[in-house]
Amino acid sequence: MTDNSIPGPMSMVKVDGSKIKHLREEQGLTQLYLATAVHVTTDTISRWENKRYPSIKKENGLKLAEALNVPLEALMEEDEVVEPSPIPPATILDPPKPPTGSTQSRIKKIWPLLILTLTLFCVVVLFAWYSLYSSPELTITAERNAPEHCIAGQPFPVMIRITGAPEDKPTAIIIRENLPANATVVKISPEVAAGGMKRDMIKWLKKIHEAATFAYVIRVTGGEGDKVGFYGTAAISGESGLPPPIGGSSITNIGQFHWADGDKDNIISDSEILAVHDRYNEIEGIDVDIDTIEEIWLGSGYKWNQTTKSFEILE
Amino acid sequence: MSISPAMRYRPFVILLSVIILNVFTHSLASAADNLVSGKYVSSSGTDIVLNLTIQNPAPANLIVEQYLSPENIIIDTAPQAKKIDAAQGNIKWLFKNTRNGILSLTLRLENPLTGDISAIVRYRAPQDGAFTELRIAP
Repeated sequence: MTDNSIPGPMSMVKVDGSKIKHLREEQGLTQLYLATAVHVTTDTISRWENKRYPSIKKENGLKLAEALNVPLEALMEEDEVVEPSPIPPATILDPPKPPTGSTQSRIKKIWPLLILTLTLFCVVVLFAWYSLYSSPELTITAERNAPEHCIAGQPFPVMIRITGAPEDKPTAIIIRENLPANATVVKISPEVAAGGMKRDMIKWLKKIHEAATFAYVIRVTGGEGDKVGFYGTAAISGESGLPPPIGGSSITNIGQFHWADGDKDNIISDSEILAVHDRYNEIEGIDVDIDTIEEIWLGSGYKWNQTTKSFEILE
Repeated sequence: MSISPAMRYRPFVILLSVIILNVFTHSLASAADNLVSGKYVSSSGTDIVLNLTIQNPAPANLIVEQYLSPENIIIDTAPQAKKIDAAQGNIKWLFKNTRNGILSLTLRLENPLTGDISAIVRYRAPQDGAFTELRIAP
């Protein structure tokens, strides 16, 4: 007789259904008795009996044989072909293992963890996106444009340009510009609110869109070679911390040259008059004495007369 | 080892893309440089007409200077020039708050133009304030 069992943890044997039925009936046993003895259901016993060569676990086969008081071989068909022949364990070269019960349960345990990890990842990504694009930190840039030089007693403009404010909503800006001790304010644009103008400081509180220009015209006293220093801060209203200082030019030298004569050659050139117009044309309420500047530009030069305190235009 | 057609032509596709991008950006830069262009519509006879084409974004202010032989006698200019130096044959305009479009400058002479005429347009680029000078001749 051949060994019909399959070695390994799941050994199977092929039994003859008709033999089982015959032996049971011969001994006057019921299917319920066999089912109870083998620890299976009566349906299983019925299925084994009615199939010609059912393949059952060897363990069940042994219990069944014991219940029928016969050796296991007595239940088997002699020439039956059993389950695929076993491969000796030594010849198996790392075969792919099908998911066993324990692996499946492990996967079942991992799934919630995977879902949780993915959800957390999505939350982090969304938060990062929101932080970067939805509520960017608002920063403004403030730059002062003061001439490099001026003549004592002659008015000259100082301009503060604010950029970087949002375009779509108004932003309240506070500008505090400390005036030099020897300065007298001639004009301010835009006008400041009540209390915004002090002897030594101009304070603007304005709502702006995207960019804005604040300017003033002053006269200073002093002698040739003296320096006029500027300092101020610009910040968004309600922001905590020290307001950042206004960048750009911070010193104007007192001398003998018109403030619009950038290269101090006693001529107001085309590029110099274009710069004056480009910078100050749009600022309402700021009079930079453009008529005098144009007269100098149309002439061949100028000379500052210290005695008469006026410009002599050369034809 | 065989190379797929897509892999074989990939360097050429990249090179072509770079060339197209370069040409495109160069043309954009050139367009930005030439915010103002000019042409003499009439450069003979008694009426000398110079047309300036101003692109967007238009320079805020423009200076136009025309040079002609001092022997020409200028009767009138339109628009009115800021300065006419008849002895030097030099006429100067200053245009403020200019807009994009065509700006036409006319010189009316007593007699048909003798000698050459030319012009220089000066402005500051609105983007960066760079001073630009453009020379125009018939």
